[in-house]
Amino acid sequence: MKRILSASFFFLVLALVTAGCAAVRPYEREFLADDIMLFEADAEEAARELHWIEAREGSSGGTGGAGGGCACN
Amino acid sequence: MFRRHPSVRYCAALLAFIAWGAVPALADDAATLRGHELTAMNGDSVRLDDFRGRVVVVNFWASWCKPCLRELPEFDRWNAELTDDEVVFAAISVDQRKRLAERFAQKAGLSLPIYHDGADGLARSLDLPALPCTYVLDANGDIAAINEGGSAEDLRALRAVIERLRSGLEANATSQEARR
Repeated sequence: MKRILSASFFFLVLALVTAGCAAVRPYEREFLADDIMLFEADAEEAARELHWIEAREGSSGGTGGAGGGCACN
Repeated sequence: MFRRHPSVRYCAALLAFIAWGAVPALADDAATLRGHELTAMNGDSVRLDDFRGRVVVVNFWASWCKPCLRELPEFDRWNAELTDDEVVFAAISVDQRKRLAERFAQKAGLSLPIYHDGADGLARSLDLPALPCTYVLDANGDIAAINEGGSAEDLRALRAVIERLRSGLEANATSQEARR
């Protein structure tokens, strides 16, 4: 029983270690650095969109950071 | 207490195995750099060993790396000012797609010698720690300096190294001529 527990623990540690994150080397980041990976590829368009959302809703903020315009913090 | 548990021994063996794998291979970077065959944009093949006897400045860059694109025009100016019998520049693109490197070089009007090597060539052999990354090889083909990143301060220091090596070569040439 003890052996089974030991082996199970070992394989659990092995699974945790081997299923970890992969390191991406600096020269391998071509596709990660692509503009398509950005949430907002066009900053001007994003600012325009935020402006008309604020105008329509009559409020500002609530677009990601703390202090979402609810006066609760 | 822990000695009784086989799992402790298993884990110790596992951690030792991981540590062994994490130790970087002590490759001779200078030899790797000198011996690697590079492909110029026009298809010509070059080895940095061909430039033995000169100071070789090797800059690794990519069209998707913004700091590289800020740094390259500076190297292009240095190339115009410094390239002669003593100094030679090589800008190696690690882009997977050669056409992106070509497009940037044409758009920026670079006169710097540009080579395409991709991410699986020298970059992987040297396991470049950063991009941009610049190696300076002295006249013997040994690594005299490595510069990671492209801050103005780093570039000033790099330029000082290149000029020091260059003036050393010039002093050698002058003393050899005087002996004759």
